[in-house]
Amino acid sequence: MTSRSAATIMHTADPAADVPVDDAWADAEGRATYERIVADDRSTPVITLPRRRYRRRLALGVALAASAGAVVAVVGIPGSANHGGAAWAVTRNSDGSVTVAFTDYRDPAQLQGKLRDAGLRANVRTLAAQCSASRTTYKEFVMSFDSSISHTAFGRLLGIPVAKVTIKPPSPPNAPQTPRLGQPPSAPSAPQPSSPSPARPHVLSSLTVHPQFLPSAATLWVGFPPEGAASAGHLLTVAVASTGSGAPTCF
Amino acid sequence: MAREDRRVDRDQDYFDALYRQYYGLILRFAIRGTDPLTARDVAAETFLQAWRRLDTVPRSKELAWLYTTARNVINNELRGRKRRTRLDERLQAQPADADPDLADDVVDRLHAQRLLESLPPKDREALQLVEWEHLDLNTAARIAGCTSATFRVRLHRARRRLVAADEATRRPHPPVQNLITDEALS
Repeated sequence: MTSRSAATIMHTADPAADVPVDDAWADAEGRATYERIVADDRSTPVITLPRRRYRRRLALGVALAASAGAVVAVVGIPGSANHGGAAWAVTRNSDGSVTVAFTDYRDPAQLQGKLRDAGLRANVRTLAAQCSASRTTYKEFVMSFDSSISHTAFGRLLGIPVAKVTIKPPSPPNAPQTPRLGQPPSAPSAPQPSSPSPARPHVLSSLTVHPQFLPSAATLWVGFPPEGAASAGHLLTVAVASTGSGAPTCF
Repeated sequence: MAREDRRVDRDQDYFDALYRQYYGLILRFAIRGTDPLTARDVAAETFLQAWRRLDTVPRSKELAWLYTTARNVINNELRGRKRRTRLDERLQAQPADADPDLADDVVDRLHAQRLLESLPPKDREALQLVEWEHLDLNTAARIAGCTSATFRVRLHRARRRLVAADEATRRPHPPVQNLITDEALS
């Protein structure tokens, strides 16, 4: 038996041995990447994901979930005190995904900070009024969803699946009628005269993002419906765009 | 204002030259560290960081800076993944009735990749920087974050271990996976 040299083994193992990349900068993807990069105004600092902190928090979340006998750990962040109660709650799931359950569309800056703490490059905005007409439309990297749709989508950037995003309306509440935005759900049918606590706010929609599908060059954009549009059934607009390429349409 | 415009033009000319000269190398490096799809993202992120930090990219040592940045991006990308598991999945995914010649090539490559995966990460990196990227020892040592002397020792040890692992797996009877052990490499 003759021995193979390390160089021979390495050559055999090379996964890029047959990949012609010398002129890759000039192909369509190479040029598109270049254009996106030089369009960046360089004012945004490079975001480094807080991986270690995220891992610790995730471990803590799992521990909390285990102690509570729950599947997930809930990290609820209250919304504006003026409105009373939380506008949304961020949940880290056992599979590593992050779910945001919305009972109202308020405090986008706080939500943005919370998502970034969870390791997601995310921007959260309230959309301009003219964007309310774009519900249930599909554009490049932009996915809008109607309240009647439960949908899972893979955004694509540079031909690569970049994010798994799920937006779904909640299960129908027990109450026969759906509460309107800003109103608490109707009282349960069983009388509970001695209970002073208010009913739990109705979840309008939920968004689940899988950070492991969001590569380092992509940013998630979450658009709250314009004021007044939520009551007309408009939920969220979600976009996945190249980091540094600027805000997608309507953001 | 005109001075600022000239500075932006100068930056873009410099970045343009970097991009043309090194994009392919960084893309190939990223393919070797991840997969062809993820590699495009890694290359994009690496050059985006270069663009945003152009003033801090050391002149005449740009390639080492780009490799180091790409290495960090890849490490972030791969953190939490189990590459050995992926290799196992790829091995199991090979169809039994594939073209014999093609199947042989694939098996040879996966076998060699598994040998490489069996090495300690620092040894593996040393081999990859020299044998795949064809970097000189000083540049490779800079990227690996060690001295040239340390890198030279690491590279020598890695070559020896790789050849030993290969010889061990080419003995007739025992299956491959049982031979790639610490005992076989010592």
